[in-house]
Amino acid sequence: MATVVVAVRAFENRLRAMSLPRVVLTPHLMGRPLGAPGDSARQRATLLAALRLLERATEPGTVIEMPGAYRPVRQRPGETSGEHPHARPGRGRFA
Amino acid sequence: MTADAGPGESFEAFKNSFSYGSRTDLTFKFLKHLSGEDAAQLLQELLRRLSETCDDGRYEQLVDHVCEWQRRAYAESADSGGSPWTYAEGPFTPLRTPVAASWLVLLASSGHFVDGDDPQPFGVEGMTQAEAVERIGEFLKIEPVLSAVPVDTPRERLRVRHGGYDIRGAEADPNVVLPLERLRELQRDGVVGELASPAYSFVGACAQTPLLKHAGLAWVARLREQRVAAAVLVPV
Repeated sequence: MATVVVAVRAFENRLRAMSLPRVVLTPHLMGRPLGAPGDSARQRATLLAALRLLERATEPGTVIEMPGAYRPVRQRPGETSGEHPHARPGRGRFA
Repeated sequence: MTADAGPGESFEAFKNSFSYGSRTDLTFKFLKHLSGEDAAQLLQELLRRLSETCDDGRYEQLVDHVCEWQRRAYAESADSGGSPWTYAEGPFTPLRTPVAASWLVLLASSGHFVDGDDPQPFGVEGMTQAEAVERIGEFLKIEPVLSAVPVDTPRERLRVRHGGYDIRGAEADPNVVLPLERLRELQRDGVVGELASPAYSFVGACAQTPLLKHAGLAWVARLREQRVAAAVLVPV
């Protein structure tokens, strides 16, 4: 089975030490390796980079870095990222 | 947890208190990995940039600062301790068909599960995120449980709980770490051949040796039964 790992750059040293087959490193905040909440374009671009790497890598330990930066998506007051009901500030998961 | 805040608290205790202490904030738990001098530099620069942001609104300089110091802290931590998971060579399986003609599976260590299918760690019903953070030491001693997430699960049915990272981003939009919606779009667009269902998630803050020698092997067998050609793996 071919594999590709998508992870934040904070883990770079640990991931390189593992000699994983393919790794996409993103310059994102921990816990958000694909991109910021609501930033569907960045999330898609990150996935596309991973899928390209699945096809193009020819040897183990292939690591690429996503260009660009982590950018939160500005939201209007009262607006949430997408339709997720748990996105409202102060609302707990089981609240 | 430690009762670290109080009269005469040292700067060392202050910076460490963000990592499972009196000021727990998992986005900033990396402060514990920094020397006092570096932590002071981070905070001084953060405040300087915050002052500028008050005038020019360029919040990006704050975001970049936090991302960069997270990277620096974990890099120094990995360099100083060395990783027990170091290998001179790794495996490599080529993808034999184009992605557009392949079966893909998604597996993340994000702690997601579907509403009504709570893995109930330690037998606790409806464990909250705060409880998971409180019990992180216990999570690190147990073998992880794999949660199956059907790929057509709507985001409002997804739940997330993980005591090892700040889940606020994942709560706001699960695609930041479990990109089911993005993958469904790519499949509809013909970029991905087929999405194997279910996708999977587990709490990555777990006992690593049992994961490597037991749970992981069982998971690989399960994926092989799904006859997937490739796996997208997302650690947090």
